[in-house]
Amino acid sequence: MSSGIARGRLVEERKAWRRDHPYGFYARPTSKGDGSSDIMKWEAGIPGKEGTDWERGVYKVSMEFTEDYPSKPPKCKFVPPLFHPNVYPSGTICLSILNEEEGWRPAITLKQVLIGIQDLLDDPNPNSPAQSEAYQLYMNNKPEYKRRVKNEAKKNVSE
Amino acid sequence: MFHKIQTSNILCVGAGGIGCELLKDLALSGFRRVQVIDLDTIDISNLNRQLLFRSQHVGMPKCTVACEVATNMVPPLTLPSDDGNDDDDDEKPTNNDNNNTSNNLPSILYQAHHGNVCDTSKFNVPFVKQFDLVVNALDNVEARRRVNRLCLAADVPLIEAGTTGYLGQVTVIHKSSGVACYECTTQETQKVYPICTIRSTPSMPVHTIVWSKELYKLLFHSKVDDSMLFEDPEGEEPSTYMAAVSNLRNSEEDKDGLLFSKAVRDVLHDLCSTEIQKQLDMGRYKAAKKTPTCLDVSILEKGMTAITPPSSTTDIWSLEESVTALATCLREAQTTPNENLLEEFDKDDDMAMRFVTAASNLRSSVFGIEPLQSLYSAKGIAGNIIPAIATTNAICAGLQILQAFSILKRQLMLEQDRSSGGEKENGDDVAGLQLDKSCFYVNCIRNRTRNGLYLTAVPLEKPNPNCFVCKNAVIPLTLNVNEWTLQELLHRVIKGRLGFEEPTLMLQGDFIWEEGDGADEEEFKMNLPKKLSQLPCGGIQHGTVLEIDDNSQSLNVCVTITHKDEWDGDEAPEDFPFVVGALPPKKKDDVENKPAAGAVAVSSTEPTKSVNADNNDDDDDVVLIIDEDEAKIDTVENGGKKMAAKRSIDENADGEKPTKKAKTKPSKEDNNVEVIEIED
Repeated sequence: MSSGIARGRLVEERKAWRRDHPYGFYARPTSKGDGSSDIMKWEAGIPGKEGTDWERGVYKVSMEFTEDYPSKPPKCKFVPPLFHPNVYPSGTICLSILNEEEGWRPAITLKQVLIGIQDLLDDPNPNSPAQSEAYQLYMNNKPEYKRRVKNEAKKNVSE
Repeated sequence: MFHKIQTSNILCVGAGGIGCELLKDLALSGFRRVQVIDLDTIDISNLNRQLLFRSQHVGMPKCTVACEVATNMVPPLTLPSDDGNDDDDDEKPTNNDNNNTSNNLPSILYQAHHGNVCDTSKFNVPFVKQFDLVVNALDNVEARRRVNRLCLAADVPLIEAGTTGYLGQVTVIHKSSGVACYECTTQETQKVYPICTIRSTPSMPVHTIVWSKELYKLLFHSKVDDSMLFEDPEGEEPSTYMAAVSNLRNSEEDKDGLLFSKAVRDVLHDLCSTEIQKQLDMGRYKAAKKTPTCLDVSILEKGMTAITPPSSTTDIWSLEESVTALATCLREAQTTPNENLLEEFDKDDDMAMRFVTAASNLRSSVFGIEPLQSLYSAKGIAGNIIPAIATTNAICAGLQILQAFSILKRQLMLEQDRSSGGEKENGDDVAGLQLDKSCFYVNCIRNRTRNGLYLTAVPLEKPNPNCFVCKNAVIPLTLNVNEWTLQELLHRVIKGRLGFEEPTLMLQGDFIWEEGDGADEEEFKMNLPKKLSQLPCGGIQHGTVLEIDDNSQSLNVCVTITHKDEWDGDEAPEDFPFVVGALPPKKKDDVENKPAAGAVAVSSTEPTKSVNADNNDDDDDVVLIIDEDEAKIDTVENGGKKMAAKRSIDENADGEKPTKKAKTKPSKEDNNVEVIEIED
């Protein structure tokens, strides 16, 4: 079997997700296009929390796992990149629990990761800016920031 | 103890023959919290033995009526310290407020769930977990398997029972007590016949009836290739009848019906004559005891020209009459709008039954099989009808209650131990219920034993190490990976045979199929028509391990695939899509020689080793050919442990021997059983 610890864990994550997952979210291994899945690469959707400017949007995230998972965290990216102070222009998400050196622990489940990202949406961390545009507006022009966020939500309304 | 009875939560699955007895017993024993699942409504034919029902209930859901009636049977509380509460106790099931709160007793609540226990959304593991024990009163194997798996997953004791005529048995299944589960010993729901017996070498009326049912499917099913008799008309050397069959299936209504009549005639002629002659010419029957004879053309012609089909249900039709009957059925089918035409044989459908009776008799005569059957007797065989006997049901239900007491007693002891011992170590849990020490496998038999007993109790069996359900054993499966598609594998083996409901399939740690809750079905749909060897992730090849996971049953097993493209014997390989490897539950008797209920307590726990073709009397391991139709035809309250699947009426006499260990006579059919090697 080519599968190692990483794959085994991801299979379990998938099963656990299917058994129970938070409302409005989705997460699944990507399709290889030949009827099989690439368990090392997932796509997920994170809904903006109700009552926040992000609501009604569902933001697409790609998650790439390495054979070192779960010792190392997955690389999570908004696709397309999101207007958010803690999201790099490439879309990569800057979040402590996704950082090997900071908050990542192997016990963190996929569900917790996605919920963590959802929390980040409306609660940006001004101490680790990742893109200047959103960061500047967030710090200096809240009304414009809010307008841009609502714009993002509109763009990402789930069908 | 009585308090325990009053407060325990019981799930009763089924409210039919055994269920009614059981509910009555539960109620009279003082059980107050019972939930009942049943999907049936009351039929007039139930009234003779299902004692909770009266004629005014006909048409109502069984579970609702049973709960209502049973509720009124719960003895009123007449505790000396508690006078005043002893009358007026006819609560309705919905009547939650009750007058015994002073005792901390739950109100009497017999709750009905009108539904199928196989409904995964309603009846799942958490649902089962709320009960102290589950009692089965089911009449079919499919549901028993389902409940078995749920109870194993939830680790809730299950009291299983089944009756057939005068025979019955009761057993207890409990995961952590280390006793056998239902599927450790039971074979599949399917009646199993070697496919070549059906197609080429029938020797009993039941074979020709099965054949006729397949013929029915061949002619009427929207998916013609579902029939065992189907052969690809484009394929190499299809049987001679296929062309005529396609022709008949495609025939349009013509004005005078001449074309249609010709199409019918051609089919019958090909089936009963041309094909037989071809096989004869090929030397197929050289070694046969009886050489088949082609149907006389004059009989065919006469039968085709006659107008009045036979109407008697108890007389045996002549061959001519059978031809007429068949032609009439086909004509009726022709004029019946498609949506009203049954795709699959149903013994209660008049046309289907006439069709099968006539077709099987024609075939029986070709093969010299006796006796020919009247419609009535054919129905008995086709429907596998065994009379249900109320007394047997009552005895079994009573035995179930006794087992329930044993279990509750153990549970009570355990509770007391725990409360008195305070925070005990896990050691206590490990000890667990140990139902293997307090419960028994009880047989209810017709002829008493040497000691004059009508009931025999033996200790519960140990789990079969090869049981994929409770022991997670690897399942060996042999098939042709270049011919089977994923669709077929799913439909015929994984769901049909192994009883999975929402399987997820994995190869090499990647998913290739998901279904059910939260599944990504779209993505995997493209795999369905693929041949197994062409599937992604390397495909299913010789030696591949396929992992099957089912959330709805908390079941996860591996299947090891053995590829085989050449099949021994003279059957063409395409005849064998039904052949799968021997399954772990290995008390497999060839169906014809199964001494029916005599097989009740076979208790070999030897792992399945290898099988070889010469070893015909090794009835433990046989490759099975699935006759899928039979799955659903499990009538009356039969289908109990091990006697579940297979029995035809004529074996009943044989079956009533109070033998514990079944010994199977090798029969001529064995030669037709495909045998494979199973990797150990």
